[in-house]
Amino acid sequence: MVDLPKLDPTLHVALLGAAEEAINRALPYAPQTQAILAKLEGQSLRATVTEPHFNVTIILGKTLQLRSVYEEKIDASIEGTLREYLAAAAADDPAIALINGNLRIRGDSRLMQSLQSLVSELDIDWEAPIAAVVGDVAGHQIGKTLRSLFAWGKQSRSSVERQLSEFILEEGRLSPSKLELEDFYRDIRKLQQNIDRAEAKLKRLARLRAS
Amino acid sequence: MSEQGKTHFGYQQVDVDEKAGLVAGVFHSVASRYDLMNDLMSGGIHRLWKRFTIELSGVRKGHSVLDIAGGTGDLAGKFAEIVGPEGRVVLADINESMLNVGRDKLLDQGKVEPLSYAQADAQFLPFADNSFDCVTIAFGLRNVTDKNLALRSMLRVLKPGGRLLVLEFSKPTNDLLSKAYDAYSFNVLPKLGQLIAGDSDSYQYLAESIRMHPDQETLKEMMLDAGFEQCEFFNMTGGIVALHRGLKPW
Repeated sequence: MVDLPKLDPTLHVALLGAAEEAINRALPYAPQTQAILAKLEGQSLRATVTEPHFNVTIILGKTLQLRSVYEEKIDASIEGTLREYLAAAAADDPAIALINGNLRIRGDSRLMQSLQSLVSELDIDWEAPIAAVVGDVAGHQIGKTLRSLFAWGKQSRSSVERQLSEFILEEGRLSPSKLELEDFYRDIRKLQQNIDRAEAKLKRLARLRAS
Repeated sequence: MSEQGKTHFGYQQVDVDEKAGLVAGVFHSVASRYDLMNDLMSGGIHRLWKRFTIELSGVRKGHSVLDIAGGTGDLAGKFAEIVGPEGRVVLADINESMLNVGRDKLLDQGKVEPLSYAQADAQFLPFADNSFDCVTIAFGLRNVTDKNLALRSMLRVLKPGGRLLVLEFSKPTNDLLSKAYDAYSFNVLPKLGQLIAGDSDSYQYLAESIRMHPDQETLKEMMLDAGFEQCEFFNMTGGIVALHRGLKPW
């Protein structure tokens, strides 16, 4: 018997069909990714979300197939709650988060890692599909703008992180800086040593008094 | 069948010998615009129902597939891609007009191998025993005069362990949905038929034939009676459509 999705099959198939169409349209514009995927032809990966219940089997190849039901042997599977998936996806190094996180991986984890690195290195050539519609000159300009927008997106993320930490430390004074913390820890160490010395002196005085 | 020698054609009782001719008339009438009508009537959802059917078929490279009542070739075209040149896909339909439309469409899509075409009656399939890994019939079984005979014929041509998939309109599981669906089928559907295909009677028949078709449990029992095993069904879109699957015993 088939492990059927809780979702009505019509909706499940619609979601996967739309995603499959979008991915397969984008893949030719990331030829490096597509070439690596072609080498993994026929391998299958099942991703199961336990809360809310959802599953998809991805059959790899030059184009991807997304299935709601797949009754053949699965090469690798990954399972977890939606929260656990989001945590792994948002991590600085998703490949490490995948192994050390709470997601349960079975089967060939090398397959998972090669897919993970594929996604992080995905570099779509926007120029070709746009040029096909609006011509080479406009296509080049729009492609250049899109590339710089994506690069700006990546830069601005690290810039926002840097500025946010500056605000918390310097402007908002919401958290102490690293130097202040080091001073604080040094003071604590000094205090600890002074207390130890005072304790030793007290013990010595007590001994003298007793004798 | 309600009386000896009688069967239903929509809500009418007709002679058994008459039904095939009457059904043929309906499909000759709608063949040229069948695809467009299917999209309009179902809002394009019939493509999703067929996609799910393909997922459950388990068809792989090199397999041999028979698509009965294949009409405009949606399933056969997809199966041809999956089985590849070393496989075999036969698109069969009792209706010459539907078969021609399907063949033209697949040829226009550049799909030639491994497809072949047969004008065939589902009750008397002209293929050798144990020939196919998978047999599908999508939105066709309700038009067959003797469904039990057709199911036994499908069992015969399947290889042991092969799968039969029956995709057909069925009984909605929710009363409210059932009422809305009835209102749509008997009021909107014939008008759409008139507008698009210039033929409201044929679409009135389609709506009636859906109501006369056995419900999920009954069809499952019929498949078991015909000799299939591990029979199960999957409701889609609240049971408006159900996909039945059964295996031929080893």
